[in-house]
Amino acid sequence: MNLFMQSIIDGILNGAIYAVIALGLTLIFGVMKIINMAHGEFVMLGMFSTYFIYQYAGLDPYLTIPFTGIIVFLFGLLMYQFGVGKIPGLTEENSLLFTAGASLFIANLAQFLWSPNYRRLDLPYGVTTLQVGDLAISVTKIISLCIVLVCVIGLWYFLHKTFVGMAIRASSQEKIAASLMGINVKRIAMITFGIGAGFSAIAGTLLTAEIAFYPTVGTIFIIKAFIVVVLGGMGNIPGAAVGGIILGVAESLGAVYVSSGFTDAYGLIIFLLILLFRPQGLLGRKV
Amino acid sequence: MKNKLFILVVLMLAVSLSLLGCGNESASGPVENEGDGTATEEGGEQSVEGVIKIGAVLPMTGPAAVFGEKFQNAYTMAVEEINEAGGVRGGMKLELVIEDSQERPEEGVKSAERLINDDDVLILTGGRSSGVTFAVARVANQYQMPYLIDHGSTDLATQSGWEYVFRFNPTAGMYSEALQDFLINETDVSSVAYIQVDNAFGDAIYEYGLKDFFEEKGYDVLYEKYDENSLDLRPIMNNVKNFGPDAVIMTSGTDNEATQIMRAAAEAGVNAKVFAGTGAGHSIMGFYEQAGDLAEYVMSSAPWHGDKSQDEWHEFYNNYRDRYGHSPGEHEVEGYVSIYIIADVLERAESLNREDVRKALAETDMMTIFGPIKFEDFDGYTNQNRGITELSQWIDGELVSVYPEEVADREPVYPFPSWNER
Amino acid sequence: MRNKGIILLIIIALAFALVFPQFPFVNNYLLHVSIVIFLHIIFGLSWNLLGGYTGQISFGHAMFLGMGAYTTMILVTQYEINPLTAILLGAVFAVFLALPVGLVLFKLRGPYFALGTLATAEIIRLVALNWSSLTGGGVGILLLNIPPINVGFMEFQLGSKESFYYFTLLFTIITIIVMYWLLRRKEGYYFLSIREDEDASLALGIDTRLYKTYALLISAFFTGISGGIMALVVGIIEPQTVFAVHLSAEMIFVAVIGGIGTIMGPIIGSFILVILTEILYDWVGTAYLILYGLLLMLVILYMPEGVYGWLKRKFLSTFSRKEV
Repeated sequence: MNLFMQSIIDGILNGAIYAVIALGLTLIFGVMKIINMAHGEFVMLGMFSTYFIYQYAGLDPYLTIPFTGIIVFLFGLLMYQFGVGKIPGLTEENSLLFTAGASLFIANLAQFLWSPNYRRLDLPYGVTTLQVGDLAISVTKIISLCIVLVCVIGLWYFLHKTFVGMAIRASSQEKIAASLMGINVKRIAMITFGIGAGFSAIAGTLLTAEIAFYPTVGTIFIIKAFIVVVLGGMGNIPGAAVGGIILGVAESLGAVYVSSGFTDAYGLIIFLLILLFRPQGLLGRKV
Repeated sequence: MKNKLFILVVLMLAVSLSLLGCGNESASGPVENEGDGTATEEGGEQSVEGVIKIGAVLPMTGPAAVFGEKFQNAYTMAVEEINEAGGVRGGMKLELVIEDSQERPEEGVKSAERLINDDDVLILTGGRSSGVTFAVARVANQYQMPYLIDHGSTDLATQSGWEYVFRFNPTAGMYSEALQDFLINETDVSSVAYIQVDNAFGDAIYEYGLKDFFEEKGYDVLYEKYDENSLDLRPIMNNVKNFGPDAVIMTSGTDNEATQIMRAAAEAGVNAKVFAGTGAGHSIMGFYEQAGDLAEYVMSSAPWHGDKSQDEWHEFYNNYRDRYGHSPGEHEVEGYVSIYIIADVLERAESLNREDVRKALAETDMMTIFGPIKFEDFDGYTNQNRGITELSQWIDGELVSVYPEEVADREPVYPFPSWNER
Repeated sequence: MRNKGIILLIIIALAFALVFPQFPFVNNYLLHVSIVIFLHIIFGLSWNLLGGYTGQISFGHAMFLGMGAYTTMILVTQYEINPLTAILLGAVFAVFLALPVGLVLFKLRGPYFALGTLATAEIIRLVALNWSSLTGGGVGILLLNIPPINVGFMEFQLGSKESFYYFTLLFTIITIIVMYWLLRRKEGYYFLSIREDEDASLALGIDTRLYKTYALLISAFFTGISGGIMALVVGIIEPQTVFAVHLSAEMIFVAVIGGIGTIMGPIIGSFILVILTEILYDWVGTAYLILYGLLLMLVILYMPEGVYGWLKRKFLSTFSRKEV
């Protein structure tokens, strides 16, 4: 029973991190229909931003979130302005290929600049656990869970209650109508892309407490992020949270009760089932 | 109209291919056969410009690039040392040619083809991962190019009867020997949780080494696998904790994974008498740098790290540290020694062609900081050095040899202190 | 006149390809690069049939390549079946895999189909990784000896680079011919109409799922062939190599860079990408992937119709005026 409870708890905590990785992707995917293959590189840039701020300013990684978020947000704006936004037609396959090229470019440039070495933050509370009876719960992951909740609620609030947020939703639903209403669709797309990048960076920051990172680390996130996005429904913000947690729990229980060799397959199987039987995602409606 | 376009395209394709051909040609062109002119089909006689090239296929891009860099550093240092000391054969300089494998066998083959194609390259080394090493070995043997494996551990590379393939590091099957002896002779362990990375290295260590051992000795075994890119290994460790083994044995490819495992173990509160890795991830300095206190008292069964009683070892250690800012480990020692073996071979080779280099390589009998090097045929292996494996343990941030006694620097700390007592 | 010219050119190109290994400057490395280019052409064209002509972007085509590779390797190493039969059987197995995949995944459209194929390919990779008794798990399968190919009275031994060159060239030519022939039949036009508007095609009475599956099966067959040959050329396969996502991506790159939805496109794309990788490595060392990524981005931005489409447009616009 303890094993079961522990697996569920760890699944949820890991799921929260999956959720935040997917948050930026679901926004870009849901709103702009861009399959962003460079998503993992945004996460990586977030990790390195945190690392450099931590190294040179001595700031606690969790406190770097606003800075890393803004740095990568700006990076996203630039990438949209000078790249993605200029793709002729902006079709799905063209944007997919462009971002795949961008992914190679960013990761390898980062490797060239920062060397391929593994880096890890040496946090004093890195492996501290909270003991609840027989259960041991990682402190960093609880902090992450809280930040993820704030992000999800904040982003949802932003999309539903602010003018820019509503403009983003409007242009995701009907581009022409939105531009007729006086929304600068192009600028909104740029901002959406930037926000998506910024949230990926937050995921990066949270991950620095958990794993080592290196310039090409981004590739390991991309499939997981897509699984979560599809589970929750493309463009669905609370859906990303639900999708992340389902993935986390499925992997955790699968590894313990079925076979650890297939850990990555459980999410994929759920992913396929959702795609086939409920393509709008578990929570249904978009943005 | 359309056919003009077609002409243009075909022309372009033809030109681009020949460009590649010429480019390649000119790279090896000016330094060809000025010597006595007795060029043979494969790798002609060399005596030109006083340069001998050593080819190495390494992962220089992608996630494994960090290891490619370690070898590159070690090779470069050794090559420069040898060249500064006057080179080989009375003044010939060594030159290193590195090709990228991206840690993918198909790229490895292409890179090997490229190196073999350069007639000035007399010998290959490197390889790094099991898959790439095997792929390179296969090509090398086919083209009669001597290949000295320094790290790739797949047993099959020296079990396939390949004349041109030599290996001085122990094979995957040998890695865990010291640990096996330790478990039988020095402990009363009866249940084991075995956790391996889900790739060629992990499978090789298990299939050629531990699998039979576990069966023969009748251990109660929990067998777990993980993906090298897992973000969190906690679920596996929860399972291990539930199983409650006497010993936890881990096979991880990188220091990064090794750290993830120990973090998960500490978080889950897994207590066992022995925590032991089987080389690679657990014997790299990076493991201690990343895991810190979590690495303390973790053991690792791996190729002997070198004879620390030798002055040369300390000299190498200090020079390397001064030059690159971090301590050398298994990879760096192997890379460094590889170049010294090659220098010795080139010195002894009757003449400078690949065939004679192979002969000289086969006759190698020398002492290095990695221990004695001699290529022998035994137990189904050909041209395999009887590498020594040792069990070492991380104590106060140093990886210290603890078993077997012949090579041990101190007694092992056994049992492993529980997580809340440290 | 026009046809004559094209036929002449094809003969010249073919003749060039046939004598290429005999040129004095040609060495094993160049032959190997050529083989790699041929393999790219085969799987690029195969992907293009489904992705470019039928409009079903697959992101998991490596599963068919892997299936072909594993079947070939298992047959050759364990049963010593001759490589030609093994490769063809490998392709047939790839088709067997494609059948259920098509049945299930063609319920999905657009990016959902792409993601579905990506996930399926990953699941199959994990199965290959864990089914050690058949696939050798992570260690993979190693090829030590290649049995000779017996075709009636002739015997052909694969082994030297030159033999592989001609062997791969043969399959490349067959692939090009089949694609050319297929696309000029009514099926080819059905494919195109599905790409342009699936619902309209359905309304016009085209059984879209049937024809999509048809395209997928042929695509899988030839991808499987390229996998089989690749396995024999490399001599070792492991799940990470032949089921990898980057392989699926490379198939798309080849087609898109060259020109999606054309026969010439993947051919040009293969030449450009493979040769570029080699030249860039010589030129900038390990930074070559930076430039590779940059070039991909530039092509998408400035040549969205691919290099072939771009050439065609430039060429036609400058020269046609003069001629008229």
